[in-house]
Amino acid sequence: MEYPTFADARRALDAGETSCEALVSSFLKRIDARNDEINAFTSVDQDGALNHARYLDSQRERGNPRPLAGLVLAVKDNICIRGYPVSCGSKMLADFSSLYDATVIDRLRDAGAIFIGKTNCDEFAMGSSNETSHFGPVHNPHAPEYVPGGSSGGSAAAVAAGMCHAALGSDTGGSVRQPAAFCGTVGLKPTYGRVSRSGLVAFASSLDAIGPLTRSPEDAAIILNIIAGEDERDSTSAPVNVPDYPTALGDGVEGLRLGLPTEYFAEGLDDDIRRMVTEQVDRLEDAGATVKEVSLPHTEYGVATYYLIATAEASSNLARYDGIRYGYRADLQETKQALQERREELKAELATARTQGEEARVDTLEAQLDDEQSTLDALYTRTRTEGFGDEVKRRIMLGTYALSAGYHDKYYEKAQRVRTLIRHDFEQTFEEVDALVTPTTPTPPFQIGEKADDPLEMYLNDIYTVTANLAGLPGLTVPIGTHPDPPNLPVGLQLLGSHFDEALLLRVGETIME
Amino acid sequence: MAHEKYEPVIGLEVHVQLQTNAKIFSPDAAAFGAAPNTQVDPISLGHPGTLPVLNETVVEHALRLGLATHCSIADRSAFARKHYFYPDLPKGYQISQYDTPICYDGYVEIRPGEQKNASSGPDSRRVGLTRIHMEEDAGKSMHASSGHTTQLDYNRCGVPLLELVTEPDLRSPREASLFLQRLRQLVRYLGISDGNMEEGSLRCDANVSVRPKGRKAFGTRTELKNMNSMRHVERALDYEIARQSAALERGESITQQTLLWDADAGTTRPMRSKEDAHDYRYLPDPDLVEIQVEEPMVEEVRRSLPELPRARRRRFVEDVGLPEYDAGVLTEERAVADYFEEALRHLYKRTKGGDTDAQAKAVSNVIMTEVMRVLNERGLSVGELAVGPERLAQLVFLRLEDKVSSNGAQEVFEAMLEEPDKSAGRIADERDLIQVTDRGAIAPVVDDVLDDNPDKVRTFLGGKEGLLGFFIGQVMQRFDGSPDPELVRSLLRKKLDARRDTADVDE
Repeated sequence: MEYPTFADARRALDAGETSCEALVSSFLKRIDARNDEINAFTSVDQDGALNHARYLDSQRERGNPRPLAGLVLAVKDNICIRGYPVSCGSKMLADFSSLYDATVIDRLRDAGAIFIGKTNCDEFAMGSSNETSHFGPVHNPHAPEYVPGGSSGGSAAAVAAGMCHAALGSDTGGSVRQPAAFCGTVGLKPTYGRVSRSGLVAFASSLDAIGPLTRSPEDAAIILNIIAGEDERDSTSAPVNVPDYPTALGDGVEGLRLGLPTEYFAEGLDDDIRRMVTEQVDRLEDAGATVKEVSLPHTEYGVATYYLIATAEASSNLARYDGIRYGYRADLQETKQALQERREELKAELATARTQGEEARVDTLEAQLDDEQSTLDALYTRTRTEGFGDEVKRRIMLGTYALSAGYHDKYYEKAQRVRTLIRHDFEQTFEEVDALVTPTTPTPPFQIGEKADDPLEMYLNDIYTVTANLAGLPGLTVPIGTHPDPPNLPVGLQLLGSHFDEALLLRVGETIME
Repeated sequence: MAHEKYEPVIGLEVHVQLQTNAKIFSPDAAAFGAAPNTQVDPISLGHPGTLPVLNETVVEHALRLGLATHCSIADRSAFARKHYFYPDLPKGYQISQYDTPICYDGYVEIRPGEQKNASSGPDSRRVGLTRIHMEEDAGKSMHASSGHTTQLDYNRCGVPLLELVTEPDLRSPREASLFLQRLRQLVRYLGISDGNMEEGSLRCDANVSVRPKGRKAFGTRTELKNMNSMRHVERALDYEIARQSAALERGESITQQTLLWDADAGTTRPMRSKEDAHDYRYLPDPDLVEIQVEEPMVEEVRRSLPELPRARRRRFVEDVGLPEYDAGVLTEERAVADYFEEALRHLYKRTKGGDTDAQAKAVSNVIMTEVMRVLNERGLSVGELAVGPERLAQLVFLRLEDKVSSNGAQEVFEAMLEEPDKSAGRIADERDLIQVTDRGAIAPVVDDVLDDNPDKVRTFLGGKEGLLGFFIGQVMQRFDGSPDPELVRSLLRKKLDARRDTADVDE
């Protein structure tokens, strides 16, 4: 690739060595060559991207270039672009297009970004392997039989395979950072409230964050500059000043206090990943940082807490997909027929039970008949049964249970209390250190199908990433080389910082990647 | 009757639809009566990725009602999602408030002894308010009478509501209805809702139970829904109280359930049990930040509250000098009370002193008779009346100065309705309704009439006093102008009496 990062491309554009149109064309060629194999995109907007590129070129000719003109961006298919599909990797929204632009899209388009297509993801961003998508799994560009991570697997794969400069993803429990680590890209999950969620299809509203996946910390800083900041369309967006992120990138790590949380290097961590992360820590120490071990004692409850809160919110957020106003709807005739058949069946059984004088059975069957669904209820059930995949249904059921009468306090409320403890752990630690260094994932990428039938094993892959979402903190993953076994598959290092301290993480990330 | 052995215990849940330019969580218009599905943006429709953003006006309206009903205001208050599936609920949940309502522990005063439009006693009673909270309305389902199709109008989705819950303090259907009247009056005074029950801006559910008189413990309650007017609230409660009393009298127990009022049949019937078996799975809404109401904001709203009905009524009696009854009628509607005060202000400018109580009463009289009659007949609000407060004051002044007779005043008022640009004086003048009050001008005419009718005078003096009317008519007829009939009458009497002493009387 001629200009792997946007920063390179911008220098070339400024020097008149290339054009936006040429950049888009080269990415389109790359998509054409590799997307069949990788399955990173669910839709590609060839004409729209080329037209917009030509328009930006003509603006530049008139001496009026936009700051991000020539940034070719892929967008996870759970972020709304007006008139574009926003499938969320689900059959439920497979044919749905958004009526409006997400705030991040508004801002990026204004700045001159070109949207080349929508990227595949786990269904409603629920998954750590991109295997739950209605549009099929995404393959890791470094080894196609391996997963790219999830849920922003398409975004990570598209960036890693050179199909775009950068991509937007969403991170609810690690969905930007984990696939970035598995695909060898940079991935930033900003502080909760740093970037507007308006137009991001909600999975778990108190945890969701939009973040960039890029080939360099500099590109992540350039994109964050545009998308960060308060938004009147999102009340949870923070009224906190946005610094100029690229400025601080070159400042090095001299004098920074870095912490290594013991719990993130404990049992369950792959030995090679431990070694690779430790080597980077040594490099940072050599570059002038001080390093100390710290403890975040409630880490072990992170995954359980996360899966209670995330599923509870998901069960609520996904209630709107009922087939009434938009999206997938089960066939009404089939629904009625099934309902009718069920009734006939029960009546026949009831008649038999009566003639045989089985009174208990008669009572049960009568109650069942009485309890039979209305057509409306049956339509809801069938629509959601057919429209959602297994993982989504599993989480909706878990969340519904956690919120139901009698269990609400035991699960949801308790999880909220533990969440507060986890946040306090971080707050205390950030009084002693400026940032934390951890592995991004406990294991290297696994093979497609390897963990698909074991949700618990899959959930444990999020062990190092979920805590940042629970505490609302920023997290950055940077690639630190490839794993020896399986060979050639990337390994990521995670940096966690205090609220709104993205600039510091990007600075450390830049030092690591130099 | 079985009924009389039992005392009803009633609590109400009332939804007040607020008048705001935008919806509670989106910039969509929230007007009533627009064509179906024309006030629906992606937020109202709950489209993927949309987020609610609170309309601050709704908080101010909630504080207005809360302060007007003596509530405590929560300094921190949050929104929660209430989940259930229904086609007119686009998100699968309603954004409401759960354990932190914005207002709590208030009361509304009612006067159970009160006749319609009257106040017969000081026996006012406080009806406790447990809470007032904010929430969004759902859309409207219109079920075709064939029963096979349902049409959905999402305009109402996200229209702001306040829900009030009372303590079980009401003891009769009449009290429930009085409470609703007071509440309706209050929300209209505050300018936060039109309080129209028929259009659904005020919706009421009732919890009702009965207990043997004298017993403290509550009986098992039922919940009544689907009552679309004050009258239906009273009828439904009457029916349900009788039903429960009769059941207890028969030794049966009451089942706790939700009942729908069937206005056509005049009965209540149970909802299907499944409709009633919701686990709403309340969840603090993570899309909305906590509402923090600071003391200065509360003070600001408190300062901006209009004078409320009770206070105004008291002032009308104590300061303005109106009878209780008049004060009650005039303060029923804020606009009418405003109209009265404005008219009175104009009148005072003309009278510059004198018996101000009588002046107030005079304005009150014409409003309670002429103005209200016309408003009723024509279905107008007082603001729409062609006779504004200043012109009304002109008319009252004419009458107070005896420039027009009471019949004349009525005629002038009717004419003013048709001629909005003319003053009362000009209309009276054009129609020859200005009374002649100069005795010197009337006396010769009276003499002429008596001279011309000696027979009738004799008959009158002989005891046929009914003839006085004849003489009055004759004088009025002969007179060029409108003599004050009272003056004519007294002159006639005097002059007839004078003739009694001299005349031969027909015995």
